[in-house]
Amino acid sequence: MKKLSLILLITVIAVLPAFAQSIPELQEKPSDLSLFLGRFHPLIVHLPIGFILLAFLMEVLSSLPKFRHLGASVSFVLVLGILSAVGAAVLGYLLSLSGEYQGATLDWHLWLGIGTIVLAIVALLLKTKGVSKIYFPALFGAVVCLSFTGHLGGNLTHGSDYLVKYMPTPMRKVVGLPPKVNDEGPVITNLEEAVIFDDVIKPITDGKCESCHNPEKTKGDLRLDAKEGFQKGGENGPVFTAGQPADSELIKRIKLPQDHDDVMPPEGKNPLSKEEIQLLEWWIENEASFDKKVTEVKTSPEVQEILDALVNPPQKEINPVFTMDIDAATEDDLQDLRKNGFSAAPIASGIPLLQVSYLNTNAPLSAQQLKVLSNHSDQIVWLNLSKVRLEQKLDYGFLKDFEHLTELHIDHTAITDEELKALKNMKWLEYINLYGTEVSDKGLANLHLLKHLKTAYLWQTNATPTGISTLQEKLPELQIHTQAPSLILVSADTTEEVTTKN
Amino acid sequence: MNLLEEIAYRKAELNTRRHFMKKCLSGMGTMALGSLMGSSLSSCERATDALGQLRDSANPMNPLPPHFLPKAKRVIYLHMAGAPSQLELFDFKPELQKLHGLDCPPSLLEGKKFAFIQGTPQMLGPQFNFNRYGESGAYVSDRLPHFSQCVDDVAFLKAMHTDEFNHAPAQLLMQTGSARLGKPSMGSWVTYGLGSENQDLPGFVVLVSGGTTPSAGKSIWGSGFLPTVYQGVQCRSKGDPVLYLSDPKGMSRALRKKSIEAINDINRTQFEEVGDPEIMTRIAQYEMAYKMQMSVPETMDINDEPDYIHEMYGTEPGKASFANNCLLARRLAEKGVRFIQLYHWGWDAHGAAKSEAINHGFKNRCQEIDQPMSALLKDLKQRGLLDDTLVVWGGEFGRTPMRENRGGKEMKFIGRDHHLEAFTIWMAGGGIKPGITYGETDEIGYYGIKDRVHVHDLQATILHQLGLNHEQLTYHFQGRDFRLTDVHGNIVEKILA
Repeated sequence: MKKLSLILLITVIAVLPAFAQSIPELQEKPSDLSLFLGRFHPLIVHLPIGFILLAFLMEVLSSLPKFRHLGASVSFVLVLGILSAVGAAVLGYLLSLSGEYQGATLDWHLWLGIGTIVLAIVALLLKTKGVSKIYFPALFGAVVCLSFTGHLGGNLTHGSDYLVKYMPTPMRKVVGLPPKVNDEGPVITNLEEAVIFDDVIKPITDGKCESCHNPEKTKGDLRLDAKEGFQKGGENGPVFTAGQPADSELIKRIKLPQDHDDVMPPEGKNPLSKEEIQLLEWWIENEASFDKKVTEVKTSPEVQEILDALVNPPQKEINPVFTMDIDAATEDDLQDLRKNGFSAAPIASGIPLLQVSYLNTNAPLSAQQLKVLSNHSDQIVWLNLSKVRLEQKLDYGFLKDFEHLTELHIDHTAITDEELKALKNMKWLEYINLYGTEVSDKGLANLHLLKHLKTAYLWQTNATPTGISTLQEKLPELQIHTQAPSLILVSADTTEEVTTKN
Repeated sequence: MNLLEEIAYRKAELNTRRHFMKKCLSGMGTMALGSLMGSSLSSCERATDALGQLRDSANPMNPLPPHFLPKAKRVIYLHMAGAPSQLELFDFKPELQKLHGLDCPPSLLEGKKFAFIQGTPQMLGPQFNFNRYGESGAYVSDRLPHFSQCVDDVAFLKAMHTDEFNHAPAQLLMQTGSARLGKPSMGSWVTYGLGSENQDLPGFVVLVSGGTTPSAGKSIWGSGFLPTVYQGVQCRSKGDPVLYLSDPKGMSRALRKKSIEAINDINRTQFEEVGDPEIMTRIAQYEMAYKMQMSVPETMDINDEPDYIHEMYGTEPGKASFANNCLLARRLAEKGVRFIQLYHWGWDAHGAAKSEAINHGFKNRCQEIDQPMSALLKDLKQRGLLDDTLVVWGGEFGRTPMRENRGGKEMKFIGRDHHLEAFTIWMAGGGIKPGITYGETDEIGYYGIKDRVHVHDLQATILHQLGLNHEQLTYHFQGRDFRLTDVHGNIVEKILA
């Protein structure tokens, strides 16, 4: 008991000078040393969280006979928790002097942190005195206080929506939060009505600047969460000079090289895209108005293009096959195919699907080779069997296994209408090349249900105009190539005189 | 000295005192490392690039995955060596016509360097008639009547610019990314990045027509500091495409195979001894040479093409011509060759001689390429190859809107001087927007005034279409990472489909 009081006393004595030292500095700029120490707050702060929670856990567990022995160590752990909490609080205070964090959240964080320490000390004293009835609620109170402090600290560092940003909508309903907002960037529905600042500029700065420049975390004494902040500027002066993007601090900082100390957003955060920078420059160039509409200012064709893209974001079309859960092709799969005369490689690094071709068209494919090929049919999405021959008695029935193909070159082969039935399985197919085959309208009917098909090559086949137009009706988006318009053979005139009349 | 004796001799040669000491040290190091790692390590056997892509030095041409999903799987690059005049082909300048014959204002000459222009040259209007073609309404002169039917398949880049105004450095810059010798060519970078789809043919094939090789010589398809296995393989377009396709007297195919196997065995022993990756390249080259003797005749014999194809391209089997090379390019593309580079020499239209005059030699050159390159586009299209084959056409720089006056005098023939500020190239297929014109020059075609594209931007765009990130396709050499675009290069997003 004596010893414990002694430790606490020493702690308080040690802490006081630190506080005392920093108080006069409140009015002036904090010293480098205190700012330096302050940045250790995030490092130290996890110790009291761990210790106090551990003390609580040990206390709860010690009620079980098996863990009774833990009870004896609770005080020790709690003392560690208090000591580290005091350290964290001091460093946290020093960090707050930088002025980068402000507002109610910071105040609550501070007072709850002090509350945690007080409750923990109370709990410790009660424990040593053996007052178990009030002791446990005090300890529990410290844990509750600690949790809130930690949560607010997290909000200060990462922004207040950090924790729940990706909470799934059903869970959000339970907690009573509004459904998740689509953060795919700003989507304007009508460019005519759009206000430059609110609809174009703010969404950019909200996504890229606001998390550090808000009322809670005001880095560089700058707030970019509302137009007042833009107008007021920060510790380095105004954010922009209307009409002069090149002289505006905002643009200068954004455009610094990525490894520059002053680049914004700082290293490790998501930088602005080329288009976003162009829009900011365009806004500042046009007086940086806060209430003008898009239609009221001049736009260059380039800016217009970017603005148009905001209204109609380009559709990224990617074949679902590429995101399907298909077992990855291994190095052994590749070796297996290569040993059998195929050329095989992943279609792109990080995508374990395969492109396979057989270019040694002198040698017909054997049953063994087809078997190897079919063994890997799941992984193959691009298959080039152009001009390939099969050994006698083999047919193209093996194609039925290749359900994941998006591209199939089967031109100049002996594939028949009957064998083309395999195409019905290839529901992801985008490209088929059948030029130079005996395929007729009957075979083409197998293509009718392929919703993803974009291109078909049918030059030198038995397909008739009727068959082709039926296919076109079924798949209006499909581009059917029969033959490139033949070159009208013209002889270039070499005798003609120079047309320039001097 | 027989082979075994030679092996012994070579081994002994390596055992100098210095080598002995070095071996002692590295041996001990390796033992220590070996026991630590539990396996033998050899830095030479496998090389990785910036993305950690493993390259198997025993099979340097194995196909490799691109960095991201590609739009093009191969490139056919038609380089018009000597720089064709954009003002006579694609960049129609009626204003220049009005200035024809007037003295060039000094403002256009001040601070400029020209290869030959001296004093005050005269402005030179377009020498041929232009018309608009296709749905895109692109201007093409009457020198390219066949090509004018293809304008809706191509994207014109009209404000290309470069840094070099002499042929050799400009060709080097265009093809290797540096005006100095020693850098790997674009085709080498591509085969280094993607390997080859066909193990029986080189991944990078070069075909030359027009009488001679480009002025920068073979360096423009060299591999620079990349392993030499990635250099362009020049095939002859006349006679046997590669030498010794037929067996020499007294040397049967089987004996040749055995010889190559024996040589390769010796080389492999040597590689284990000294670990120089160039030895593996040598082995791969021997094997490739042998395989090519089997596969090249099949690929390169254009006699088996039907008559309508010959008619379309204007090909004559057995003759060295740009037309034959265009047809060969299509056949090589079908065979999975990654980078097919065609050079057509003779576009240096100064007007100093009849053969190099806008009103003579240039006309012949246009006639030589017009039908074949148009046929190539159509043929690729009807076969379904244009979707994933990127075709690029262009020279190394442009020509001046002023008439060249070598020695300060008016010359007998009409010509234009070298010009680095503006020239036109076109691209087709491989995920490039068809039927568009990107970039614009001023009224006389002197400067690019809108959407200028530098040579490095073109290179970055070509690599991008192949699924390669030009900033990540690097090779570590002499202590730093090198890349095709050096520290430059922006992808020309606006021309991508």
